[in-house]
This record gives sequence, structure tokens and C-alpha cells, in this order.
Amino acid sequence: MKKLIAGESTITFEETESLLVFEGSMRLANMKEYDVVTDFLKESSETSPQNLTMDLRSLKFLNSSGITTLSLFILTCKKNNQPQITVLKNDNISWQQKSVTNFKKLWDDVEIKD
Amino acid sequence: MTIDTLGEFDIIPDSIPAEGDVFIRVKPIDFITYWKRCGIMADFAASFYAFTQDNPEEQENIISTIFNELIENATKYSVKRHGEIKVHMKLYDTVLKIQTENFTPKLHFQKLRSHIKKLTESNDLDELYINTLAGKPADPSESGIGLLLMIKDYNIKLGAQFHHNEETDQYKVIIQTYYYIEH
Repeated sequence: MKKLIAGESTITFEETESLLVFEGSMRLANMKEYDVVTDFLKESSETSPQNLTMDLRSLKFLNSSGITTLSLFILTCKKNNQPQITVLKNDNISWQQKSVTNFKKLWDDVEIKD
Repeated sequence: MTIDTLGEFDIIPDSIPAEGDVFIRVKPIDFITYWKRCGIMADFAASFYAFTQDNPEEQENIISTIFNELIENATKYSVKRHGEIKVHMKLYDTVLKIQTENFTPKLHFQKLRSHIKKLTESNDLDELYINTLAGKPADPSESGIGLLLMIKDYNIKLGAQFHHNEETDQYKVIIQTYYYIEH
């Protein structure tokens, strides 16, 4: 298990399950500060090149720089045609209910589950 | 001198009495020093109005998200760390108006004006979202989708007004958002 602490949030990578679990409130100041998240996602996708699940259900907030970071990661996976991405969302958290479906607009192969 | 007014600006003018009226004046240095303060202030603003709503947790998350994007933008693009950001929140029955006012460098002023013009005149915001992200370099310096997501996903009405003070050669940006509280 690998863990990244980013501001008020954490991302945990469960390698055996190809699972990324996001928790807390991710509101880093700018794209540069999100570089650590980009690198963590990239390493995770290299470890799990077939399938990768991003569990966002405990992520209370994600600012637009964070949404951009996740979006660009999905576009990179689309370009590489791997890994297959599954996103777990929580409709009781408004930003997820409103904005997570955007990921599928970037890459139709993204699977979104409630 | 007013240079331009874009989008849905002053759809509820200040002359109409509000049922709630909060005014915050803050310096960018407060947020730059501790970025977490953006979120703290956004959460405060959200809880201040959300607890009276039918679904307070949902409204708190929405209002905090909107407020946070607005003050993050105003902070990042303020001309001076010791300049001022003014935030005005007014509640009109089921509409929450949030207005930010700050001074920006000329270069950002021009970029922001062009960006908001594109946002407010777009007929297809999904396409704009996809194109904005697809056109980004691998290591972008800025997100550029905050206001776009507000309009696209939160059904926010957004307007902006741009001013130039010729005496001080400063550029002022006023951004207004109107959030129609969902029930």
C-alpha cells in the first residue's frame, strides 16, 4: 500500500486491488502543487496497467485544479489506451454528483459507478 | 472607466434589498501565506447560508465550491499581495449572488476578459470543456476550467465587468455569480 498526503487530503493506492482511494478535501493552490498527485497517479497506472479504480466517494471537495489534474490523467490513459478506468462516485457529495460524469465525456471507456 | 460588461451582470442590481448581506474584505497575502484559508472561508460562507435550506449538507457543498473557486481566482490573479479582494454575498429568496472584486495585472486582465467572453458566448459548454482540457500541455500552469464548471455543472449565471483606472493604470475585475438554490 502506498499513500500520498496532499494538503487536507490523502490518496491511498492498494496495489493488489488496483485501487486508488481519495479522502478528505483536495484544494491545492495551483497546477504546480498538483504535480505530486499527477506523479502518484502515473506511478499507480504503471503498476496497474490493465485496470485502475479511482474511489472518490470520500473526497468532500476537489477544486478546479484538482479536476483538471484528474481529467488530464484520464486523457493520458485514453492516449495510451490503458488502464481501463473505473470511477466510484458519491451522489450525496454535490461536486461529485455534478462534475464526475465529465470524465466520461473525455473518454467514453471510463466506467462510472455510484 | 468601464471597458466592458460581459454575460449576465447585474441581473439583480444592488438597489434591490437583499434578505442576507455579507461583505468580506481580505488581502491576497492572507490566502497566499496559508492557502487552506480559501477553503476555511468558503466553508464559513457556505455554512452561513446553507443551514437554513431544506438540504443543508448538499447546499453547503455547492456554495463552498462556488465561493472557493471565486476567491481562489481572485487571489491568484491579484496584482499585489497586499491589494484587496472584496467579496459580497447577497441572498434574494432562492438566489445567492456572490460578487468578487479585485485588481489584476494587465496581461491576466486581457486573458480573463477573453476567457469570460468565450464562456458567456458559448453554445456548447461540454465541447468547450473537452477542447480546453484536450488542448492543454502535459504540464499546464493553470486550470482554466473553474468558471466553466460553475456555469456548465452548477447552472450558475455569470457576469463580469472590467474597469481601467487611468490615473493609477490599474485594472479592476468584478465577477458576479448567481446561484439558484436547488430544492
